[in-house]
Amino acid sequence: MSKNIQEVFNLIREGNKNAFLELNINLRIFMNLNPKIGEITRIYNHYHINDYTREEINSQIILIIIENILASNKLDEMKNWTELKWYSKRITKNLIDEYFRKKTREGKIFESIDSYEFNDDGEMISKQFEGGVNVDVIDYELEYAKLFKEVSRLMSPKCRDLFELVIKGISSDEVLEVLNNLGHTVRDKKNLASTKEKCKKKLIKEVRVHNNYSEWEDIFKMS
Amino acid sequence: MEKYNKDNISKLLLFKELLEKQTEFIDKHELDQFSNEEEFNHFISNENNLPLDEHGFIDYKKIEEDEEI
Repeated sequence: MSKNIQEVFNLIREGNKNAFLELNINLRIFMNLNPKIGEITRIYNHYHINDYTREEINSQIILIIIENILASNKLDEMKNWTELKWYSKRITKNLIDEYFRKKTREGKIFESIDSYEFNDDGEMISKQFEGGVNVDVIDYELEYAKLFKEVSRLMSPKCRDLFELVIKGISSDEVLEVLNNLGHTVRDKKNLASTKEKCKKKLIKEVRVHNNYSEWEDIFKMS
Repeated sequence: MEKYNKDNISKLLLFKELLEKQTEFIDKHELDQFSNEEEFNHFISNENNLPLDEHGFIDYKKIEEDEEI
């Protein structure tokens, strides 16, 4: 018997790992490497996305959905797994667009795919997301900007400047140059890599010393 | 509700860690191989030895605890 998707979402909000696995499995089925099963894989094939990038995008899709379950009401009207499939395909398309935009910025490709749309078979069409799915258009860049703003408050000035440069997708040489111009001492690429790691570790530590983390972690472990 | 308050970021970090572990579990048990929901539910109900919880979900927590022992 099919499980009620809102019940699954509610259990995830309570920190239920089994419910999260149920969601994860359903999403992974959409991402199955066999394009006959994995509808998201068909999208990747259409856009010639490499294996490494697919896996990166797959994780981002699941995390975006989790974010929206935990911290918004965007998915409250979702009725079934078919709607979730459409929603995840829509996220996929936006993330692929973002990937190509980033590559374009890096000068690695010379064409824009902004106007492309596609159907289940990977054929280009237009307006295929219209109809039947009562889910708002997701505004990733805005959402991530908000997330970044919140997170950046927890960072030291050096780490904040470093992450701001990194997410712009510029080269390591440019990051080094700008950081040094800003008065931060970062000697070379090796030192840059270790600085990034230190910043990440400090950020995770900073987030976790916050008030309710232990309480939530206990709930999470017990559920 | 402020979407990205620190509590939510903390929860997201935990789910991110769990996501990586569960993805390995899904790969290991080939749980992403089903053509449709019906086929998946049939597998869960009848054709395997994976423990289920009271909601009919695979009991990942039990599996995790058993692995710790």
